[in-house]
Amino acid sequence: MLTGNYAAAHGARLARVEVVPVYPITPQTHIMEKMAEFIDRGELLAEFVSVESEHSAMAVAIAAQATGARTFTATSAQGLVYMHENLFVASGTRLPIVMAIVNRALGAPNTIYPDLSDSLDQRDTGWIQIYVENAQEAHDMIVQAYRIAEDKRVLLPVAVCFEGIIISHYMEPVELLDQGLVDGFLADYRPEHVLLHPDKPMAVGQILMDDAYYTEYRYQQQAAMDQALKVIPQVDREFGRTFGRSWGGLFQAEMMEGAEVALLTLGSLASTARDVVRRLREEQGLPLGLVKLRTFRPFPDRELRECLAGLKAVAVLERDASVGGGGIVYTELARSLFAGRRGGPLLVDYVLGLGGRDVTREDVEAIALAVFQERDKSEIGNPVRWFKVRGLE
Amino acid sequence: MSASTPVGPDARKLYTYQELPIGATAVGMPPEKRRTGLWRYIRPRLETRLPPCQEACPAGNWIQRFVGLAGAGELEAAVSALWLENPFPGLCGRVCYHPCQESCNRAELDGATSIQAVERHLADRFLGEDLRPPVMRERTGRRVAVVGSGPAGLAGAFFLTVLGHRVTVFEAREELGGVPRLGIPAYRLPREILDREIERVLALGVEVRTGVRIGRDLGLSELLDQYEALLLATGAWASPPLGLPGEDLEGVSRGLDFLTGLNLGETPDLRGRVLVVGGGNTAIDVVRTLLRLGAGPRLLYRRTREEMPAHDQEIEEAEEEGAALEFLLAPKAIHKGPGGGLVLSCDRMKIQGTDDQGRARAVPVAGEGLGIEADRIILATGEVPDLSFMDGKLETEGVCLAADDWGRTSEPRVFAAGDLGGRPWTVSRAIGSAKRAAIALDRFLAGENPAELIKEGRLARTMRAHLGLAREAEGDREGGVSLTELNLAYSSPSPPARPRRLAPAERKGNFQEVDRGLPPAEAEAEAARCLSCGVCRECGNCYLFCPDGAVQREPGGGGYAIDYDYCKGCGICAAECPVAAITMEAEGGPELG
Repeated sequence: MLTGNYAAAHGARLARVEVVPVYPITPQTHIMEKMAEFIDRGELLAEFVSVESEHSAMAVAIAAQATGARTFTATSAQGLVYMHENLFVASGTRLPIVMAIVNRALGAPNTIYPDLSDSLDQRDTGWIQIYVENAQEAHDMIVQAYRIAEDKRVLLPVAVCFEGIIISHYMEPVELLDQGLVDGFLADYRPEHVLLHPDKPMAVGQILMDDAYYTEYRYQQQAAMDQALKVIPQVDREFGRTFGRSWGGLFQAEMMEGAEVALLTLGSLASTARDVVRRLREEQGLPLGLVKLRTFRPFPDRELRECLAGLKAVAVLERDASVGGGGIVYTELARSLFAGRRGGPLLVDYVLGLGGRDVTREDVEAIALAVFQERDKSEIGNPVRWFKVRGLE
Repeated sequence: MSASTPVGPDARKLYTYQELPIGATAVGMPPEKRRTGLWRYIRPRLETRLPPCQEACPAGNWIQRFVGLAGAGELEAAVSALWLENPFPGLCGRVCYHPCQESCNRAELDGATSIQAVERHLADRFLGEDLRPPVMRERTGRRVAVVGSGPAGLAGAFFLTVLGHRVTVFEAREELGGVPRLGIPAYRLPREILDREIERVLALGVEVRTGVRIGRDLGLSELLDQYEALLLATGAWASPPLGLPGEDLEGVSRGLDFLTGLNLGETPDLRGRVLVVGGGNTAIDVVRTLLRLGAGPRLLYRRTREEMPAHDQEIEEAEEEGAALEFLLAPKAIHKGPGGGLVLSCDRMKIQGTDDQGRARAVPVAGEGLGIEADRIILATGEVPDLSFMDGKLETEGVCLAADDWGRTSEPRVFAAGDLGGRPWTVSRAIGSAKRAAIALDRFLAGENPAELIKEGRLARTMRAHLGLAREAEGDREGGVSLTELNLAYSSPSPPARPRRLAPAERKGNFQEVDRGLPPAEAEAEAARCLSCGVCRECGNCYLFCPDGAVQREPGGGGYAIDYDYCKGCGICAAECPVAAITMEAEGGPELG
């Protein structure tokens, strides 16, 4: 039995990370503590770097990774937004750092409970973002993340994101990966593109004057993201072959046979939604399906469009909000479904569970039934729905 | 950095995104050509600044150096740095009033570093060993006479000998040592310490002629004929009349005379009631000596305890020993009493405002005069230099000989040091003034004009500067380093060690030394408390923190250097320097506030 935090830390240990710069912040701190403990006990041969801020943690991670060391860090909420500037440096210099982001709602008002806005907010930083549903998936994906990040076709940093408290602090049965198998699954990190060494001077992240090559370098990142769309499912399949367990790659489409309406969600909400969809299908015979989105960056536009094209309606259930613009995943999905083509399913957004507010099976069932009722309508008013806001009908 | 080939493709072509190096690594231009230092508009400067202790030290001791070395356990190097600037560390380690500690930045933090205890430890630790100055110049054969063998005279002889000159010391008495031998009581200065330190100065080859009083046995003009230059250091021994009616009566004596007589082995008559008048260190010395001899003196002072010029620790120790101190009593006259004794008429005083020197003004309370009966009255109200031996040949200023900071008098070949040439009359100032005089004299003997050197700011005040031993000119800026300039994140609080004192009960009836300093281990630990204000101690912070790798270690040790080709002027080195030895200044302009 492990918390999500400890499961993630074990993943980093099994990946044999070499440098761990972390600054404490709830609900992530257990990861930092566990990493320090592994190192202190000699269970992990790595350098733990105490820093004075998350900004510095990422700066150290960048420097360490640039010397060829496999680097791991973790943060949450305000710590993550404090890192923001350096996130661009990490991706721009193409350093395959892996970071656990334990989602926590951003203040003010302050809370230590989750929503996903903190990491979704970093969508433009050039990091791959993978959202997981439980402690086991967190554990497995830290290992997968290194394989994805270090793939020569990708070479981008990866964030593995999971909700604070709900996943980070509650214990679940977790099967730890076998070290020998992980060693076989993850080759040593042997960089060729960026490697700081005194004998071979190299200027990294150089300044470009006028228009120079900035556009080309940005497109290089886009091209790497395009490659990641292929690499992520490959790595997951390879993981399944090695360890007997896989997670669906970019997203996991479940119970979609004959479905007219799908719930699309991510993180721990997927567990609740899965249970509701299964029961509604089995008990009431409703043609519902579930899509658990895992990879938010790169956003699998084409893959999702193909998956959702034949549906009448899709309801996004998301624990985040871009205030003034609806849910962030909804906005992204709208692009996937409507960009470059005409028509498509009705797209409804439910902003819910913010700041860790519990989302029950009854809530999800009410949403599923409501959207099912609307599936044939041609006009539904405001598709962005703030769910169960006191004072809002 | 050695030249390297460009790591990117040819900068003269245009490349597609597929062809560009991943990670925006360098294209075309080798890293050493990217002189990021050009972006800088402020620059750090590594410097050695003046620690406040050294700014305050009247003797000009190399305090940071010897304390730092002692704290690092390098005791021989420490005593060498100490002795370079001061041949009397055992003496100063006991009787100096340590203005260094009053100005120590650590005082505001958790208690001043006990510099005096460190000095004393080094002196005592090496007391039995032969010390050689770190530099001993080639003999010049130039002959200099030093008049007086107190701390100023002997220190002057020491510095002049180190600088290569042939020195003869003339002493009117039979004993060498001046006030420390004849005035300072043994419970403050055991004589074997003084003997040993004088012996070591003489061992350098100083000639001594005792029992020769200049102006009586030998004239000043004869000395000037026989020697190329003179250093006068005759001290302040004269007791001028105070203008107090009855001051010549039998039973009335002077403080320094009393102490001198005792130190020369005379047995004073202490029967009856003894009054001591005065508030300075001599008065306290007299009172504490009398207590040890079994008398019960009363000390009368015209102002309050707060205004006593005596050093606070001396007053405190006197009180511990049971001294009766009475304040706001000013002597007016001494009469014969009815029973054959004496009566000291006093005014009762009150404090009313301040005088033109800012001191509390004591004024008589009308109708509150009183007479105090006594058998013996010791007036310890101060001495002055005796200038009679000069036959009016040299200019005077007040009670002293007119002399500037380097002891230059109205006669170019005559220099003055110690009490003769100015106040305050302390051992440490005597040593410092003798050092500056020796340095000026050295340049004078080399045919230079000290006046011009002073005008140009080229006349050194310390031996380390004069001999070129300090890495850099110290204090090239005004003022010492203050506490707020230091980065205290790198020092942890630790209270100062408390030097030991003999318990008051054990001081009765003897002249055993009262202040006992620190045990060796504590003294060395105390030295390690030094914050090294303004002086690099090679902690490596600038080197480690520099984001551009622009701070480099000097090959073979000896500190750091900044590579201004790459320094962007971020200031992190200055911020992280614990000792404020890095200053940010505008590029090509003045220092920034």
